Amino acid sequence: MSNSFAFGGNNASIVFAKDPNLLNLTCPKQDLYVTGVGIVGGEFDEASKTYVAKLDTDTFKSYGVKSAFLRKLDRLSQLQLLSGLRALEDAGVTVTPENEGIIGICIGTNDGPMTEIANFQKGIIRDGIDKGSAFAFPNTVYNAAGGYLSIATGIKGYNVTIANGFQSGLQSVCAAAGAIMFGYESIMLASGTDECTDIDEEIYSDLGMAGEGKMTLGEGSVTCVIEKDSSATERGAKRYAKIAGFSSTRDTSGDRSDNLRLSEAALTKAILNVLEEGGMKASDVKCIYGFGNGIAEIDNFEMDVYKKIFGDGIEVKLVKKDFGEARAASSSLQFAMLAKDISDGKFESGIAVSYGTSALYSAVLLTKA
Amino acid sequence: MPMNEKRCVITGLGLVCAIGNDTEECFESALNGKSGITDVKSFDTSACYSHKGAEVSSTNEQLAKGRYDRTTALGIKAAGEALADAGIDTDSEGASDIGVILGSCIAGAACVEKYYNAKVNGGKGDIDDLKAMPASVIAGNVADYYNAGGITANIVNACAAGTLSVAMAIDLIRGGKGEIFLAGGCDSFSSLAYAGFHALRALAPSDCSPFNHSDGITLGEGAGVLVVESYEHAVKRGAKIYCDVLGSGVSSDAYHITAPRPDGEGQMSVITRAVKNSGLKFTDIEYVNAHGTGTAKNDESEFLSLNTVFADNKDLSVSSTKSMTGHCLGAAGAIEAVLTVKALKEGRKT
Repeated sequence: MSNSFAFGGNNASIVFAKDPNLLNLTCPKQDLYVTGVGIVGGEFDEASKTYVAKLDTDTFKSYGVKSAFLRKLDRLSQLQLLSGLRALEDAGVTVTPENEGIIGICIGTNDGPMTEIANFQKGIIRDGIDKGSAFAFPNTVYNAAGGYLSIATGIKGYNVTIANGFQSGLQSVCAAAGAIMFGYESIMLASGTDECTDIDEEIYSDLGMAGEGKMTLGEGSVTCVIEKDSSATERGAKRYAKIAGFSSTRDTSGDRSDNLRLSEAALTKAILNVLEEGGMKASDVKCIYGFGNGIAEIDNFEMDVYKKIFGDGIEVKLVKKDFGEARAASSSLQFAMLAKDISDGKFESGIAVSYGTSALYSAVLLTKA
Repeated sequence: MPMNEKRCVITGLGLVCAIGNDTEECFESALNGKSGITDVKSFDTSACYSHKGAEVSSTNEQLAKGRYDRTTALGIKAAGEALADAGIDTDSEGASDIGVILGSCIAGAACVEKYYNAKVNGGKGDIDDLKAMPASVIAGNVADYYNAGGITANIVNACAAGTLSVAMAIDLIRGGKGEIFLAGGCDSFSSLAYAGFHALRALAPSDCSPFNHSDGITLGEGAGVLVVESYEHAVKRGAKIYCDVLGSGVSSDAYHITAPRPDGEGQMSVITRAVKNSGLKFTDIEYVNAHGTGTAKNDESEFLSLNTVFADNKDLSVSSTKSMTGHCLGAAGAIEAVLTVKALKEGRKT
């Protein structure tokens, strides 16, 4: 056995065995539902030309978060905490000693705490390696946001943070679904969270992706509560939608993953995989929540793929024109908005699609609960 | 969603850290108690109260061809060894199905330092360093290096990241999302982490001594990568099998952002989950490669946890290999997993 314990209060253990004679490892199929949604989005700021979220202490106070605790959190962690609290509230989940161990957290992020990392590094370059701040250092760790959410809510189950490009928010849904199916937890919070940083502006300007007529950067956090059927039934939870399939595929045509690679084959495969997993045909799907971020090359590429698979009748909805390109948060928002549309009866089913710098393409199929 | 009752096995190992450039060298060093801890060479620590580190002697160019952040370069080196050990030809069609799940704590910290050194000192900063900073690019770049076309993910749960990556690889295989994964972790030695742990007064003044002096950690760097594969896939391609990987546990303390719970509740919970998920009994476990960082808080709570959970297991052996490798942060769990698998295979405990 090998053990690891970490900042953020995360613990992980793994068991190896030579020639085991047991192995009756069963993973029963479970129906999974979206039972809660929490959204923190930005408003367009003329000065910075980005979508900036408003975070005020009164909002946190209304959830019982004390100012002294809130002051410890960096912006990314505050965004995550608020969307997590809203999602729990929306799902009607109260964390108690009875259920604290069967609720988990999975957070996706593109940039993580790059602002805190940059500030800490600049500080020690300027002031000396012995002048680092003990107060600031914990927030340079990617899983700080997940740790704070766990501390604030008392959630003691599975806790993982994935940094894997823009599609990390959708990948967090996949990981959360896995955590439930393997019997780790009954309820998972699946999030996508990213903040606006100077670093993003620099990188995406260099890549020709940001600026006039290109994508508009944003920030936010979106958390969805994913729950297994028996748990939702026992609680009498409302159900937005059912997760019918998820898939991630990768483009292997390049030799560096620092930049976005557009791959018709990878995107098509991800979509076909979820259709197969959900036992559905392309003609059954009427709505796609797409990645589209205002860059013509990307938007056109994506639309061409959807038309080839679904035909001209498919409705493609884009969230970033009102939310900005908030990377992982945007991909989570696509998933959340699709769940809401299905709940509202606008569609019987739909697919959320995202991709990113890791050349990974993710798709999640939702159907009526 | 299709779920499979899949047996998961380990078929390849790759390791680079301060006690060796490959798995065999590291394992022999660990068996012989050879420490990789020396005075820090990467940067000036004269202003600090501690000057110790466990650094890898190889340069980035020796670790990987091409320009990569050091964390990624370490990952590429260990992944290459693991693939070769598993008998996988990365130029073959089979490589296109391999997924890559890697853990990291500090990601592109070397590029962070380089970029901001230039900026703070009035320079422009190299945009390629900026792009190499986020953890998001690590697994993808390792995958591209070896033509691996399966799912990638970067797990960034600080010092538990390497262990979590192996756990996630098992879950993905059993969930029908892949048959073979490179799973592990990588992290470089960095002024950022050194300054941070220095600020927390968590660095040991001399070589760390887990479960002994317990007066702090010694930071290290390295990478550990395991080839995690479904049993059927391994048998089909005639792979040698080191061992099974039976199960994992993951939990949260919900207590403090840097300190473990003094009562060890979270640690006991995760050990219990892992043993339960494996289908074994507590008395079946022969050896625990402990987290054993060398801080008083960790060592006290972990000692309490192990004593409580394994109270009926009088034959249990426990060690912390961080006394030799240093604490390699996001790579630590993976490095320790590789050493544990070697110990299991060879019947010799580190």
